[in-house]
Amino acid sequence: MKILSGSVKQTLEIGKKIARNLTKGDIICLFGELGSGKTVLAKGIAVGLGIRKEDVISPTFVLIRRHDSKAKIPLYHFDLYRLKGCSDVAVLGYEEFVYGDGISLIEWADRLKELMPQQCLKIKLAVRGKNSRLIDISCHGRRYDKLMEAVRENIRH
Amino acid sequence: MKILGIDTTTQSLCIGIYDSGRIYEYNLQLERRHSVLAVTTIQRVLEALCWKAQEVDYFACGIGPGSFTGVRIGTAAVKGLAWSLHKPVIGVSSLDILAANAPSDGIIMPAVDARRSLIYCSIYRKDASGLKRIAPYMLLPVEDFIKKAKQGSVIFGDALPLYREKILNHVKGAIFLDKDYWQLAGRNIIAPALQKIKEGRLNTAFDVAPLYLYPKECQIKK
Repeated sequence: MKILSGSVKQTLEIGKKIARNLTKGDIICLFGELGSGKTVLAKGIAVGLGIRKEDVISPTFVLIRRHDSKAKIPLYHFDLYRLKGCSDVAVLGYEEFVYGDGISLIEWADRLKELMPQQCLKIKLAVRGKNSRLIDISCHGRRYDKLMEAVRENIRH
Repeated sequence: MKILGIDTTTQSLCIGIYDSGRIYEYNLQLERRHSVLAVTTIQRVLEALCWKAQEVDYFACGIGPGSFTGVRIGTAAVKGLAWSLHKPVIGVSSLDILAANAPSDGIIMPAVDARRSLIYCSIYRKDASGLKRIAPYMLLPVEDFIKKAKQGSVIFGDALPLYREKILNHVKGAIFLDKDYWQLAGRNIIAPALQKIKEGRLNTAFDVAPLYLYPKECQIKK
């Protein structure tokens, strides 16, 4: 599914709509260059989960931030930009989080390489103009087919 | 001779004790609180035994494969103890510890969920002479697991709920053991540890290493 967002505000809204159907154990992998809007979309998703927008900042330096959502499900927000390869990721012990009790949002998920979850929602962001971004959402695994369907519905309305 | 063994690679904190022929164990369901409780539990167990840490002759340690953080907590705790007390360390694969749960003879295949749709496993033969590993420690997708499994294998571990159907359909005569057999038991650290002592295969605090079994591309620098 491809959506063209015309502004930061619109990207935030799309994030909120994605958040509406997220549950425990969901994994969302975000891809896209610097400035393509990954953190903006992450903020939108966090807000949709009842987390304050101001609290969600890029975890580039700390690699991971944990937020507690309204529904008491933790949101693990990763930013793997600084990591070189999957051996760095393995040392993080990231699997304890990603396959644990929360919702995982992974920026720069391409760094995971072989450790990339086989089942997840993938979102690719690309710059299309000064303010517009192309958001390409795809699903991998049966669980995410359903999530994708729900997201499609949310965005249509 | 006294041995203290610990395994933190699963959701259980397992402690195995050997005291000149007698074996004791202490198992605690912890989920993810190993880092908080591992060392204090070792201390409590030692107190209950009226042992001083320096009386322990060998420290044994479950080295995985298993939960990444869990593997590191257990090996780090044992390294600390063994280094400060100048005692040898025995690294025991956590799959060996699990395989020892098998109640009857035959081909034994412990199967642990490694997530990412993969299984930690190995193959053992159990007969009158004991339990013998006949395959390497492996990290396999279920399709390869099925290919390696022999007819009538006894299969158990927390990978079962995920792959039960597939295994049933492809491995003839596979025998599944129920949940009671999926948890590591502290007492089962002792037999492989004794074996390694007999063979002189001892480690030190410096060279005992976790068994991660990551894909080749992701090997972790020691």
